[in-house]
Amino acid sequence: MRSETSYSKPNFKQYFGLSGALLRENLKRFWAIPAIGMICWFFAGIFPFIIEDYNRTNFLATAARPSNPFFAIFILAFPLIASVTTLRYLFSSGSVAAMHTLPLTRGRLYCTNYVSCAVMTLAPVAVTFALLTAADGFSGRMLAAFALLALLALLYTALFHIAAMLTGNVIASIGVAGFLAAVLLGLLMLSSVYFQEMLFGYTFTNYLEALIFRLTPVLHIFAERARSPVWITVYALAIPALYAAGAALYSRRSLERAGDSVVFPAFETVFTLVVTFAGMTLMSVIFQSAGWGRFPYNLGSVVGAALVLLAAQMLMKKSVRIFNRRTLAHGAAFAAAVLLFLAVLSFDLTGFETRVPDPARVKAAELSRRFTPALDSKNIFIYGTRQDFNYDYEPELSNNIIFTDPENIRLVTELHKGIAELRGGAPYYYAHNHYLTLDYRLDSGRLSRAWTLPYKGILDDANARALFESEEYKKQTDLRNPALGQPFSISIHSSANYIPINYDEMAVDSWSSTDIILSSDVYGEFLNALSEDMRNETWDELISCPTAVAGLDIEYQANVEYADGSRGNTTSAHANIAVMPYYTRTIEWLTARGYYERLTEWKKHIVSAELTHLISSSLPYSPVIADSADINNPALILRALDSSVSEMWDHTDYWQMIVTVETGDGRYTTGLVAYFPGDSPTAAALRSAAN
Amino acid sequence: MIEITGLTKQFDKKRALDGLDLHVKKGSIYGLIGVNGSGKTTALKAAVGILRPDEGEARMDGEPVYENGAVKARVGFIPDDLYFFGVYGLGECAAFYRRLYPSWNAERYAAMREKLGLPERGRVTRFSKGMQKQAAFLLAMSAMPDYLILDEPIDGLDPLVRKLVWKCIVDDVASRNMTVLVSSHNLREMEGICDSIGILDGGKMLIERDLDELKSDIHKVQAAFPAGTPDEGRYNGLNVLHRETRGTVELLIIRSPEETVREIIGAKNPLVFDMLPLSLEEIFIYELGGEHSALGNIIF
Repeated sequence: MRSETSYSKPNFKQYFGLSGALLRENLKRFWAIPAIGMICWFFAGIFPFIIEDYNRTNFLATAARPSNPFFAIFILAFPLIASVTTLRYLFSSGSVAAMHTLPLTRGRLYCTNYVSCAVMTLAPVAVTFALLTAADGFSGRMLAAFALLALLALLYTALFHIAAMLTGNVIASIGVAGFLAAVLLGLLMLSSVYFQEMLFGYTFTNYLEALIFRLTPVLHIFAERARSPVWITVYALAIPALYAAGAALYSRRSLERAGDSVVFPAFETVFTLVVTFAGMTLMSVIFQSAGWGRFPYNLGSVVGAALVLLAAQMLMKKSVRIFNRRTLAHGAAFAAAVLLFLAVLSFDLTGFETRVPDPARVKAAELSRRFTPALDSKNIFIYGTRQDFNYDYEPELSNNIIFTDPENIRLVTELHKGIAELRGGAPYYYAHNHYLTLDYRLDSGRLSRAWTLPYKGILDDANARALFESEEYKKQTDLRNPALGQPFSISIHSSANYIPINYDEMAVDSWSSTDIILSSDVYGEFLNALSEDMRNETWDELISCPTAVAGLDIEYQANVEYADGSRGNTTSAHANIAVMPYYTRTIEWLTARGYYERLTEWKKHIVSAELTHLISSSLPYSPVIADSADINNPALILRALDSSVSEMWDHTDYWQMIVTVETGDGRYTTGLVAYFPGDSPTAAALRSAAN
Repeated sequence: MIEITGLTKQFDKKRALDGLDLHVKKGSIYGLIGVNGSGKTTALKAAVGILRPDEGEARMDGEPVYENGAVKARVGFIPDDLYFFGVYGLGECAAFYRRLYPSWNAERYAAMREKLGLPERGRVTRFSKGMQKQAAFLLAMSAMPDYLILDEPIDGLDPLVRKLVWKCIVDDVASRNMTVLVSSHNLREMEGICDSIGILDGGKMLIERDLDELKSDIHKVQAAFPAGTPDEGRYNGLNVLHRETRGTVELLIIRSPEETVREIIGAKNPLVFDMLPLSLEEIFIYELGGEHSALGNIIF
């Protein structure tokens, strides 16, 4: 019978209690950590403030942002260094005995060490804040920014303490700390490799991505401007939870296992499985990159799992003698789990690929509009920049269209069904494919899909046609949409981009005069003409790819509130529009003002074109030059340009034409690269006219 | 007193302690001896509250030691593998101990440090092994512990310092009623200082006695008998641990009361009959060196 022991009744007090003597010694022994921290924070936080043209607004705009990655690095690095250094005594039998001989309970040791690390980590943050405040005055926003940094420092200190509690040496501790810091992100990204490969329509974007980011606090805080107060509260609550978990682990830790990689036997299994999963994924990717198809991919997964499982167990046991009944049982169980995992994905046993929501449950459907090269290259590239400031992000400025009309939602679900039918029939790899995303907002939750489709995947789809000719689509792509802001500048340029043939003269651009800057008094009438043309653009026109007449850049501005509370005008949106030959109102407007002639001046100077025939034996291998020729017939070149497509229809057999013009000061390539299908009449005519 | 009852500790698949019982009287010096791997260090670490027992517990004055800061503040422990903070000098170590141990005696520290000739400054980790041992002893004794637990305390010390260390310990036992639990392989010195002895074997307590009592119970006997005296049943009634014949003389190690030995052997009219005292080292060897032990194969 197991006897009662005095330690078997843990109580709340065990987890807390501070030893002033040990705290003082820790700070005295490890003074270098906050000192180095202070130097780092000084150069990243204070030094830029001192130098010219730096101010508080910029500081706040860049502090907790990817643009200042130093803070993110510090917030991870210093808690890690402090934790590993302070808890290093747990990693050797001599030091662990000495420290646990002291008249301190484990709870008091843990608490004191945690507080020591927190002080070492937070001191430089606090000093940085104090110096900035002294230099520029108190700011509530700055206080909030630094409080957030302090919150993260405490959170990661607690997390890295858990890593030290689970492990028995420095290397394992750092490894597990890294693992814990990005465990969910890492595992889901690894899983995503399989899901993206095997599930038609899987996407690692939108809300799932947001969830993963938020479960990795340093990414959430540093990568997103629109931080969720709810999640910040979650992080704050996670600190005592992680602290308690670490203290509980300490109370159960077997001190005699100092020096071992893993202290708790149960964690050995977890570690082994995670490492095995990572190795299995790596092996799969290697097999996949060889282009051997699905079977080698699965085979690679299983072989990779087996090899890495053995290696991981050897690592855990510190011995190659791992072959016993228990190991074999583990191996068999893991192999079965891998096979089940692959079977679920391969045969879509969850019905993921064919799941289409009931239109009645859909509140909105967001569809990407740049899913073909035609849409991507010629039409509408708008993005909002307001999220850089203290402004709510407006989704209508994104490159997606949001459909809320019930009929349009029904059309989206029908389009979804049509795409789902393409599963299994699509080739394994497309050299030239297109990415379409669809995000449903349902009564409860969301449903996201993304597909890589063959080029003509949905071009003939009647639902897509109806959706892209709908009033909802036209309204959201209207360049007069007030949500974009006020037009600030409009410039028009030729669709040809001139580069001197003689590269020594590259700096010279005699055709720069083709850039036309419109005066603000004509913005209204120009945008009216252009928007009307775009509103009348049919689906067939939208997906056609003639050579554009001109390109134009529109910059919008809006009056916004900055992070420090002041207001000012800033770029709110940008639009790059290709003026198509069938934009009659726009062309008339340009012609009436003499701009059209300037923009197409280059056509009068065509002298030749370089024609290349490219053929690929099979996908995914890159095409090779099968034939090339020069054409010196300007009229034929012009006619060919009008009938060209702006992208390769068939990657296995096509012609490419690069046009050359000549002016008084030399020859220039136009930058215009036109493509023709290999069997097209235009290609045949060009080839027969070639030298 | 120190009381360990039913202490079991297992490392992976190896059982280091198996229901160990150990009792150290207050104000006494208890020597814990055993072959390598018998569980001495594990027992001491459990006694100090470093290791968490799987079963059983260690108590001091009736109070559990494990996770008991108040009890630990009255305990000094010098382990076999010493550890000092990397950059600390002896003075800094002393300052740390002074803040942790309420009974810290600064005068004693100063006096002992001077006697031992240890420098106040300079990293302790750069001291010689013997000096580190002295430093550990100095710190532990300056904390004025009620309980002193020592694991191989004189290993690496020169004879003069060893004498000083033992004297200091004995003085504290006498003057302050300090209780000492010590493990060592130097049995001759243990014999000279210990009041009680515990012999560990395979994680279990083989023998636990007062040293005098232990020595009075085990005897080395030389005996020779007239020719023709039957060998059969010659020592019936005696617990003979070892028997060997050198010419006509028999050498015996017997664990039985002295009177019984004299009575049984004397009744056989021996030509030669001498009872010689056994040293602790001999007792250790004969107790643990039975025919079935690994040690026995080496000794016999």
